[in-house]
Amino acid sequence: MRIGGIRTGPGTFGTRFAATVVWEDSHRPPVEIWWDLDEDLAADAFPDPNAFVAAAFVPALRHGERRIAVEGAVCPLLAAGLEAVGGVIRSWHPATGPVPRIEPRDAWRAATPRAEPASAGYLTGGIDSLHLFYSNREDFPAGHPARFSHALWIRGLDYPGAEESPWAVSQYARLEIPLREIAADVGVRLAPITTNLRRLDDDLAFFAHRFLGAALLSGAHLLAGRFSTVALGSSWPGEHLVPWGSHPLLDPSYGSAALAIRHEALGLRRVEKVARLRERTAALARLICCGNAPAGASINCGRCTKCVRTLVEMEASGVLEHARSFPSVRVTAETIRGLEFDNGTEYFWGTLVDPIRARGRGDLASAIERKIRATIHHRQRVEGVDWTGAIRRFDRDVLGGRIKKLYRRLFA
Amino acid sequence: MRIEGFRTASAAGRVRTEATIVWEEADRPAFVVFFDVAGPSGREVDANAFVAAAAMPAYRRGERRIAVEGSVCPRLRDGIAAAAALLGAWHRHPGPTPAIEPAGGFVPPRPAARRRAAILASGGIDSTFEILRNRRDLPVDHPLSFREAVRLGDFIFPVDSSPERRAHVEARSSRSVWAIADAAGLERSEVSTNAAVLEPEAEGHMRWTHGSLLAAAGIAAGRDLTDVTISASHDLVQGLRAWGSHPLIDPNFGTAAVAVHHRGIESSRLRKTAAIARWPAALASLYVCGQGPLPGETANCGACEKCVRTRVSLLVGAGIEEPPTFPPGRVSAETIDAIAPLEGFRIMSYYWDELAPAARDAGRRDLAAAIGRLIARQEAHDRWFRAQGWKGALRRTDERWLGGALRRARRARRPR
Repeated sequence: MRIGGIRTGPGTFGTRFAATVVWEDSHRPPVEIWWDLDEDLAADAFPDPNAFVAAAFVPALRHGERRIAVEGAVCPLLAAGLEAVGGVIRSWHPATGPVPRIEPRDAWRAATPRAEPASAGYLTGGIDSLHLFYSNREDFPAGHPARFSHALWIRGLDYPGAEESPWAVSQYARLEIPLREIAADVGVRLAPITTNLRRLDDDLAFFAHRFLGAALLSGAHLLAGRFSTVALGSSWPGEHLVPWGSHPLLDPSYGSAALAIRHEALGLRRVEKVARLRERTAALARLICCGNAPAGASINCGRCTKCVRTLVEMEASGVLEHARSFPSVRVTAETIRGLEFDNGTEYFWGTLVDPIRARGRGDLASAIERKIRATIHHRQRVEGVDWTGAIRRFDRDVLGGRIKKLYRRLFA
Repeated sequence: MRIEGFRTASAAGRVRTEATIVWEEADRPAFVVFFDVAGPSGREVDANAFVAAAAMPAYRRGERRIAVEGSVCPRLRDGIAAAAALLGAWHRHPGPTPAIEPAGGFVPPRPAARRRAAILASGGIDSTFEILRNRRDLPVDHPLSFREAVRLGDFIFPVDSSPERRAHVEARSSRSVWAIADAAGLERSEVSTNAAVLEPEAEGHMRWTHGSLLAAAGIAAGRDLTDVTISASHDLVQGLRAWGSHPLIDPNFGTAAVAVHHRGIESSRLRKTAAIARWPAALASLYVCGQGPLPGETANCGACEKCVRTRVSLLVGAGIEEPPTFPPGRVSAETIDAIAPLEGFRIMSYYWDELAPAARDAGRRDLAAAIGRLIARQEAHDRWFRAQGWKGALRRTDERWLGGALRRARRARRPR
C-alpha cells in the first residue's frame, strides 16, 4: 500500500484533509480518504501522515498488504502500536496475514505533543459516551488538563460510499440537534468530523469487529496540536471483553508520542452507566442508541434490539420516564420474545435480569432468561456443539451421512 | 480495609512514607507499608500509591472497601474498578470491587507543568530494551524521553529469600541498573517498598498484584514524574497471558498526574535480546538472575533457567557465545538438559518456543533438540503436577485413600 498526495483543501463539510491510498498487493482500486473538519478544529489542524497510516493499517492488514509506504514522517510510537494492533488482531483471527511494514518516505520522527495538555472525548449520544462526558465533568474541575473541552462527533461511518449524499446530510442534521444540546449541557463544544474512511473497506462485520477503533480515532492525529489526549467510552466492560474493533488493547495503540488515547470505564457494566446518569435527565431525554430510525420519526426506532435493550436498561435503572427520544417506552415480555439477540449481546441482556426483577418486572426478567437460553441453544446447534451436533458428527464421520439421508427421506 | 496513620520521615537523602493497613474482612494482622524514595524527585508519597498497592490484594481477599485518609484520584478509582473487572474475569473471582472511600474525597492531582518520563528499570531484557528503544526513537528533549531510571529495591523476592540472597541480589541489581542508567544518560531514582507482602503468595503476586505494585512504585517515585513506563513481561508473539502485569492492567493504576504505560508487547523476548546485544554498555551490565549469593562479581549464575535462556537467546539471536555478565563457558545442549522443571504456574514452552526455530536457523540443531527435550520434560512434569494421566490418578488415590503412604515410600527410596 502507498499513501501519498497528502493535502489540505476545501471540503463539503469544512476543510478537507485528504490522501490517496494505492493498494499494492490486493486487487482493489485506489481510494481517496479524507476528514472534513469545521472551521474551529481546522484552525490548528495539521495534515499529519500518522492519521492516514493509523486509518489505513487495519484494512491493509486484512487485505494482505506487505507494506504501508507513506509520504512524510511517521511516529515510531505509533508504528510500535500498530504492530501491537496487528498482533492482537492476528491472535483473534489466526488466518490474518503478516503485519504490514510501515515505510515512511521521510523518516521516523517522534510527534511532539502540545506544551499545555488538553483533552477531548468522543460523543455519539449513546450510553457509553454520555457516561464518559458526565463522569469527566464530575471528576475533573474546570482548568484541569483532563477535563474535556470538545466533544468529537465522527460522521460518515454509517454511510460508506454515501458520506456526502443528501440522505447522509439529512441524518447529520437530525442528530446534530440533540448532540449540540447534550454538549451544551456538559459544557463542551461539539466538533463534527466527517470522514469517508469506510471506503477503505465497507464490509460491516469487518468494521465492527476490527476497524471501528481506528476509524473513530485515527483522525485525532490531525488534532494533535489541539489535544494531547482523546478518550472514548468502552463498548464492552472488562468483565466480558470480546474481540471487537474498539477494544482497550487496540484503541490506545493508535496513539503516538504526541497523542494519548484512553479507552475509559472498563470497570462498569452498561446498566451501571445508565444508573449513574440518573440525575442527567437532559442527556437521557436526548439519548441516541439506534441506527435504524426512519426519517421524520423519533431519533430512535424503539423496536430494534438495541433500542429495546436500552429501554430495559433504563427501566432497570429507574429512569425510563426520561426516555423521551423513543416513540414508545412500553416494553413487554412479548417485545422481548420478538427480538433476536445478535452479536453475542446476550451478555448485556444477562446483566439486566437481576436489576429488572428487583424493579418488579419479573415478566421481563423471565422473558430475557428464556431468550438467552434459546439464543445459546440456537448457537450451539449452528456450531454443532450440542448433543445434536455430536450425532451429526458421528453420522458424518462414522456412518457416512446415513442418518441424515434417512431423515431427509422421511421428513423432507 | 483501612489505610491510615500516614507519616513521613527523611534521612540520608531518602524520604520514607508509611501507613498502616488494617484489614476489615480478611483475617490478617494490621501491617505497616512503607515507600522509601531516593532520587531527584523523591518526596512524600501520597495516598494514591498506597491505594494502588493495596487495591488488588484487598479485592482478592474479599475486602468490601478501602477507607483511606486523604484524597484519591478519580482516575485511579475507575482504574481499580477496571482492573478488578479484568482480573476477576480472568481468575474467576466473583467478589465485588472494594469501594474506595477517601476521607478527603476524590480529587484529581494536576500533572507537573513540565512532563518528565521515567522507566522502572531492573537491568533485565525487557526494561533495557525499552531504554534502548526510547533513546533510539525519541530526541532527548522530547517530553516522553526518559529522564529517570527508577529502580525498585527489595521488590523481586519479597517474601521467601534469605537475607544473604536478598542482599546479594540487591547489590547485583543496583550495579546493573545504575550502569545502564549512566550509559543512557538517565538520573537515578530508587523506590523501596514492602508492599509486596500485602499479597504474600508468589502465584497471587504474579497473577494479580505484580503490575499494580509496579505502578504504585512509579507513583511513589516522585510528584515531578508525569509518565512511568512498565516494560512488558509477555508479548503478542507468544501470546499475552492473564498476568498481574499486563497492557490491560498496568495503565489502570495511573492517576491524572502520572500516566502509567505498559510498553513492548509487540516485540518478542528474542527480538529484544538481539537488540540489546548491539548495545555494548547494556550487554556489559545485563542482569537477569535471581539466584544468589554468587561467587565473585558475577552478575548472573549462568545455570538457572532464566540465565540459560538468555545465553541461548544471545547466541542464536546475536551470535554472542560468551556474554560478559555470565560465567565463562559456552552454552550447550548439556546446559539445557540440566535445567530443572519449573514449578507451579510458569510455562516453560512460553519462554522457549521461539528459541528452537531460531537455534535451527543459527545452525545449532543440537540446541534446538535440547529445547524440544526441555519442553517435553516440563510438560511431563506439569502433567504430574496437575495430577493428570494414570500417574495423576495413582497420586490422587494415594493422597485420598492411603494418606500419602506411597508418596512417602517413594521419597524414602529416592537417593539423597
